Amino acid sequence: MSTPTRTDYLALRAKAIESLMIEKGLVTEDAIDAVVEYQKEIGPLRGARGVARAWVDEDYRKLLLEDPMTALDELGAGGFASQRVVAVENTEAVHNMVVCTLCSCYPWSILGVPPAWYKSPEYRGRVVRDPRGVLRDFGLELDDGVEVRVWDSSSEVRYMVIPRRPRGTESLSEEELVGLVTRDSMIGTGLAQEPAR
Amino acid sequence: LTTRPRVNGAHDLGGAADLGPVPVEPIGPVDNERWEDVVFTLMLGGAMRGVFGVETHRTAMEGIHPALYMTSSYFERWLYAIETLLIEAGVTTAEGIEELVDAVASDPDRELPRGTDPQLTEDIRTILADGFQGEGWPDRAPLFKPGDRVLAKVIRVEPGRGHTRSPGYVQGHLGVVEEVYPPQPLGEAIVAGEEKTEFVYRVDFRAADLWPDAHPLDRVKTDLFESYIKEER
Repeated sequence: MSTPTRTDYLALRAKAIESLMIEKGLVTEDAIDAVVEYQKEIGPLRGARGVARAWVDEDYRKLLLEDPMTALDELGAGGFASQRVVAVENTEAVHNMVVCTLCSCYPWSILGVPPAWYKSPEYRGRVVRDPRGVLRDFGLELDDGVEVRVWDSSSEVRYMVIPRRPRGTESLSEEELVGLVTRDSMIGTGLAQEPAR
Repeated sequence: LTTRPRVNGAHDLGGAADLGPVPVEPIGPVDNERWEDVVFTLMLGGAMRGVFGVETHRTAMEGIHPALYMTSSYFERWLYAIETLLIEAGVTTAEGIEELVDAVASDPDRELPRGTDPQLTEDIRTILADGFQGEGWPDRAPLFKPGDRVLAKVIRVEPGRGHTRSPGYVQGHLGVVEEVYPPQPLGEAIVAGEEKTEFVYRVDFRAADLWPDAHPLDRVKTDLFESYIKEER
C-alpha cells in the first residue's frame, strides 16, 4: 500500500464531515452531483464570448463597460459569485489586473473554476504592491510607461478584464476571436493570444 | 505610517511581497478534485439550511492559525472552517469529528447514505444559477460621492471572532471615491447576529502612497463599505 498523501487525508476528512452532514440533513449526494454538474458547465468561454463581441461590436463594447450585467446576461453569464460584475478595459496606456487579497473571490460564472495560483498567498499578497513583478512571473514584461490598475475584490462586486485585441486579427470572425481570449487575459496576468500563423 | 499586511489575520495578505514567486501553471481547464466539490457543497448546504453563512464561514477561515493558513490549500481552509462552524453550532464536537475521521479511515471505501432532500438540490441549483442575492438600494442617500477624498479608518479585529472586509493595507491611507455601488450585507454585522447593509464605494489609491517601493504610476482600487471610510477635508 502506498503512503497516503495530503490529498488522500483531506478527501477522507471531507468524507467524514460529509457523513455527519448527510446524517443531520444538511447535505445530500444529489446536491454534490448538482455542484459537479454546474462546474462542468462553467468556464472561461462565457467571458471570452463577451470580450470577442466587444472587440467586433462597438455598441456591445460600450454596453459591457457601462452596463456589464445587461451585456453579460445576453450571453447567459450571470450566476454564482457574479451577481455584479464590472468590466475594465486594457488600453495602450493602462493594464488591469484582478485579485481578492482577503480570500479568493472570483467571477466563477464567467471565468469558471479559479486556478490554484489565483488563490495562492503569493499572488494575493504581491499583486497589489508589485503587479509588474507578478507579470514577470507569468512571462510578461510591461512597459515602464504603462499604468497598472489592480482591482481588489473586497466586496461582492466581481471584476473582469477586457484584454486588448491582438494585432493581425482584423480578418478574424467573432467566433475565431473567442479562441484567442484566455482565462489569464481576463484576470490580467496574461494577454490575449496572437493568432496562429 | 507604514501599512503592514496581515494586521487582522493571516488572510489579510495584500502587500505581503515576501512570499516568493507566484506558482504559475500553464493555461488550461481547471477541475476541482472530488473532495473539493464535496467541501464546496457542504458549505452551500450549511448555508442553505442556516447553520452558517458566507460571512461566518469567512470569519472562521480567518481564525485558522497563520502557520496552517499559509500552508493549506483553498478548500482545505474551507473544510476546517466548516468544522469550526459545526462545532460552534453544537452539531458536533472536536472529539466527535476526530472519531468520525478515524471511522472513515478504518473503512475508506464505505458508501455513505445518499440522503434525500430534493428541495436542497433545487435551492443549490438556484444559488449556482442566480448567485446569492442581497443587494438593494435603501431609502437613504450614500454619504460619499465620486471625487470625495476619504481616509480608510484603522480597523482592528480579533481573527476568528471579529470580521472586516477592509484590507489592512489601505487602513490609515487616503484615497478618492470613484464609484458608489448598491448596498451589500455588512459581514461583521451578520457575524454579530445583526441584519445590516451598507453602501459600498470603490476607492482609488496610489500604490506608492500605500508602499514606498511601489511603481509611481500604479493604482489599487479597493471596495470599501461606508463605515470603513471617513471624509478627509
